[in-house]
Amino acid sequence: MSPRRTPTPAPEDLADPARARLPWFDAIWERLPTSARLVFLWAVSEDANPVDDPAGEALLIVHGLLVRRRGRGLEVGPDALGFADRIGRLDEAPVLERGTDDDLAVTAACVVRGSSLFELALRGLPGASASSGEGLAALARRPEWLERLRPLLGRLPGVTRALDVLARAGGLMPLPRFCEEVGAAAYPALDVLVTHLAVFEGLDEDLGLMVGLLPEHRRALASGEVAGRAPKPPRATRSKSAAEQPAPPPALATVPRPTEIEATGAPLLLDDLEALLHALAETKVRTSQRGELYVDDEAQVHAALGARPSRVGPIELRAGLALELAAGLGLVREVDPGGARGPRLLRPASDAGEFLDRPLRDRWRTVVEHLLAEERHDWLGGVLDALAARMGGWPVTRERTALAAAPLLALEPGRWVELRALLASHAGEQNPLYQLFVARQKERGVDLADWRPLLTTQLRYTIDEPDLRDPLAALDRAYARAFVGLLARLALVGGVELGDLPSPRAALAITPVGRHYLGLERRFPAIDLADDPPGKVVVQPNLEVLVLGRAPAARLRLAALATPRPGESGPARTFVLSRDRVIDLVAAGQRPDEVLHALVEAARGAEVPLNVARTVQDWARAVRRARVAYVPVLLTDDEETALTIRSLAGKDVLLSGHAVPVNPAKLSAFKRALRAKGVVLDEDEPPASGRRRGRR
Amino acid sequence: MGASTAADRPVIVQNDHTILLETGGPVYEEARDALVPFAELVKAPEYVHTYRLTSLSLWNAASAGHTADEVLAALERLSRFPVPANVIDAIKTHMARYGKLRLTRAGDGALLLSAHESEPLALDEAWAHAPVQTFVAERRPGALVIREDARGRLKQELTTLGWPVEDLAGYQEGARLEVALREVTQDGAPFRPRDYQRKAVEAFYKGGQSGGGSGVVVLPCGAGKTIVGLAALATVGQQTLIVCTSDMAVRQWERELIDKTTLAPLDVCELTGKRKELGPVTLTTYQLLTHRKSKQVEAYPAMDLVRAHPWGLIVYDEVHLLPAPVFRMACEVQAVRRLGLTATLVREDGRASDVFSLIGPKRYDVPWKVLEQKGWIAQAACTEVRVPMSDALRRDYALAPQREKFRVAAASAAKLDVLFALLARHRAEPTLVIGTYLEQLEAVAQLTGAPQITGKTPAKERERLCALFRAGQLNLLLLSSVGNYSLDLPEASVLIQVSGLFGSRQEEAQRLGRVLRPKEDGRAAAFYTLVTEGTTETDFAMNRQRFLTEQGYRYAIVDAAAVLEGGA
Repeated sequence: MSPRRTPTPAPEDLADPARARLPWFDAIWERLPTSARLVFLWAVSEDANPVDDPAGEALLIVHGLLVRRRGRGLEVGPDALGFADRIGRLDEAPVLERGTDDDLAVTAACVVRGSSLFELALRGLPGASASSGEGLAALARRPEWLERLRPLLGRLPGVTRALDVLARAGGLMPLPRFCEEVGAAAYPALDVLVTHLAVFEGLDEDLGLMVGLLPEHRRALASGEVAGRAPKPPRATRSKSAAEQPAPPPALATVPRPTEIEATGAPLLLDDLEALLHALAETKVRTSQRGELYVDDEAQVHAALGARPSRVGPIELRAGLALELAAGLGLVREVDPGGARGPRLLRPASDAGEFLDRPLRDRWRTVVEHLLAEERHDWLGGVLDALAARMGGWPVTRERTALAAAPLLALEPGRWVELRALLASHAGEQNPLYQLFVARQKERGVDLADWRPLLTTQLRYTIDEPDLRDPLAALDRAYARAFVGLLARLALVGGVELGDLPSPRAALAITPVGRHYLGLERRFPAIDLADDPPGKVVVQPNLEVLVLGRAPAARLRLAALATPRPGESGPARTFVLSRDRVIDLVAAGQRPDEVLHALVEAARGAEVPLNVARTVQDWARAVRRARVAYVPVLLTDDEETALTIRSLAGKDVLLSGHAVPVNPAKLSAFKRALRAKGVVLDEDEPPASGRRRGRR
Repeated sequence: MGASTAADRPVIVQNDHTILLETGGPVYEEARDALVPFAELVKAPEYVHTYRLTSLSLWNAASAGHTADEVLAALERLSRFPVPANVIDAIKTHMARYGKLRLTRAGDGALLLSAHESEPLALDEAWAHAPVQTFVAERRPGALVIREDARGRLKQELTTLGWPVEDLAGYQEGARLEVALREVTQDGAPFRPRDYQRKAVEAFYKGGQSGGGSGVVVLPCGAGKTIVGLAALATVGQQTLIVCTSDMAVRQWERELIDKTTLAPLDVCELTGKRKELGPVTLTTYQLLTHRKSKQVEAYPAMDLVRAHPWGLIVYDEVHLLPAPVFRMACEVQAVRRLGLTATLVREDGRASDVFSLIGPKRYDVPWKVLEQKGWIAQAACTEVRVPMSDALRRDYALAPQREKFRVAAASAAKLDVLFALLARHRAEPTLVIGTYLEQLEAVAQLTGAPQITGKTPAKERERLCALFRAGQLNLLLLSSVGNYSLDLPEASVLIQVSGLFGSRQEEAQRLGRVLRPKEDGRAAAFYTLVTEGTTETDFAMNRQRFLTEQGYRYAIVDAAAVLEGGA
């Protein structure tokens, strides 16, 4: 880059109408001298050679673009991070420096502008595996691209005028002038055109912001290949009779609240999290050394979560989310029951009961805030991305969420609308690609009228086999799947209610929690839902312990003491006190009185019948311990020698009345048999073999 | 309904079709009565009872005229939490299926299987099921003619297929029998069946409609199942076969028939080892019915004999003991009304569902504790006494092979001291000591001088000893396992079991039943089990007690030392 020095802008520059229309940081950038811009780029880049310009630094600090941190030097100001990212990436793709005909550079610059959806769309396009930029280049080189876009984008406010302004300017102009000429709709129009790969942004020699038509489109407009091209006014702006104007977008109607609604009460993700923690407590869920669940155990977890009928799926997604959430909130721990050799078990952490006993709003807020915090970096540690990739799902980032969320942003909480109508309305007003999606749903086997297939099987509605002759189609699929994916996620966190109207028609309403999740409300809302009535524990003389209703902490405690009745699901849970579990507890170091105390604690004040207390204590007291010791055994060929050895050894003969030699090959089976009889074995480390010692 | 808020409602409906009913609240009794018509009582421990919705229980409800809407309304009114959608769906689906296939009589007397007009495809589905085709004698338009001898098996097959047949073909009318219940027994005591006994018969007979006439009545030991049998006999008014567990039971039935009905002694016949005669009311045993000369011979002569008689009713006493060959006979005599009587319906061999299929569904069931509260059976205090092992026994036990360990523990001589302490405590009360091991009983007999009844005791001697006990001239009687059933010893108020048959829940319940007849002075019964501590006997004892704890009984567990010191 060869920067050119420009004078520091005077305060009166603020009166410049071109700059006044710019957003805050763009306007500041335009007022900065090139030297200060260079300092900023140095701070943004990882360049080791600092630019020495104290005045520039001071300006940047004054405007909040940089801050000075003690011990760490200059850093980008917290509010300027997004701007810095954009400027940094424009600098890395110096479009104008390399010439506007450099397709690759131009299109790479387009990627800069939040075009992540394109990356997704382009996975199926030629060159996508090499880089998104190459894929974009392939797309941008198609002369029909703009022609296809114009009828769609032309309905959006400012788009036609923006194209007209750019065409008249020869395809390239400074951003402030563009804003001045296009007017109030300049930035929204620019967003649409950049996102839809018609226009690029760049930096000129002084690092000033520029905006230009993509070369292919500029050439097409200039040569008249495309109907309605420059220098004539774009087709959409030429005078037309009212009948020729595109139909206005349909008004979005409010529909009655459906009778059958998903996500009443606690959100599905909270229920899933609770079901997961109970499943971890009540069954053995093993993890491999790589932290993955065993396949059989994963099926158990899925079964535990699947008990609640839901419009949202697939179950793998819900289970993955619940697991990551539990880990993220510190509600699970890995235990090592069988030494380093065996698989580890995933168990609820000690705080899990306390968490589950908290009021609903508290739990709900904790979960949503945790997800939002994680999402800013790497939502759920990348697991969702991995899952989504495996299932053809949609990777989630904050940026993508914002794009996908667009159809929901204007909805008031509690207002029920039909899904199909919402998308049609949004397509008419903001994103024409949804028009394709709505129009083509049937030929693609998608049913916007029915939630269940849409959010389960059709969530996998992918771009695996895009029509390469029609890249626009690939894009509308990407949008649609992003939106459906977001709905599924919102439903999981109680951010949206999903309901079925007769006919059938799928309908939805955003909730206050949903608006908070989408960043539309700063505070987590008050929840107008009563907590479940407190559950009750009953200990019966037949050694059953019942948890009636919701008492999660007690249920988690009981799972350590008693065996849950298999196959049971519903508002109550039955445990059966069993000798095996008591042996486990004693083997783990609990004393008999502690075992009984644990039962009394778990019973939460319910009477423990005397026969039950006695039986549990007896089981615990009956546990015996033995130790596996490794001792040398002298083997002789004849009895006489053995007797001689015995007489010499005297008291050193270890196989007395309290020692039983067993076949080491059958030790494991013997251990299991003994445990069933209440004898717990502690095992000494086996001695190192002679061969190994020899090597040392 | 009194329950004002959801939290006060006593019922919880689970997704797996179980229903939990919390006892003790003001709505408990109302809820229990509401559940009984369509749900099976699985267990009734002290605080929470478990019911289960099954296809059978719902079909029973449908056959009794209840609709799915009524069932759902009852559940929604009583449930603390919303009734799960899958349960609602199952109730609607199952109840809608009952009666879609019907067995009726054609004008020519043929047994016809046809479909209700609302479900014409049900008959096609039945026909498509290969086993059903083997029962069909002829196909007619809109109906299948079923072989008479296949009526039971057809119903079994179609029930398995999920199409329970509404059997409207009626029963064969047996030879008439003039019989009524007496209002004053031959002993001169006023007699009238109790309220629950009359209800049991009504539930079984259903006013003579074709929907009634077969099924099982479950009543606790000591609740007077024999009276239910007599009342059913008097209601049906036709010649009757009564199948009992033993000759002793035959004697007891005979005594009751003559004492409480208008039958003359000559009307009551006996098909046993002693006498072989068929008559208006015939008493026989499972053992005799299933007797054959050798296992290679397929025929059961006694069964063939009774099959040919024009019975109007067959009563299966202690129906949970029904042996497999008798199941087959029951299967073949579906045209005869049949009544099963039992206290437990627990079959250690897991064939309880066969009783439902072949004798009929459970028609009446009253929890033990309900009858206890109403005073129809005696209150009972159940106590397990843990007896420690001596050092010598501990060694014997440790060294015994696995399969011998139970016997070593159960026959422990250390139990005798505790037994004597208990006998001393209950010196004035009629007491039974029951044990499985004869040598153990023999030791007790030698030390106490009390008589024993075992399998080797001649019937006359058994009768004599029972009569002495009933007359109060004998206060202590020792019984081997033959005493589990049908010994009529109503005065016994203390039972001490010194050993049992491993973990048999049925035996435990039967033994408790020996002391549950209400006592004239209203005193409670005492039921002791002596168990050797720290052995497999304690585990088996726990299993034995499961049925009774599930009926609401509590067991106190005390140490032998406390008994020996007179403290427990």
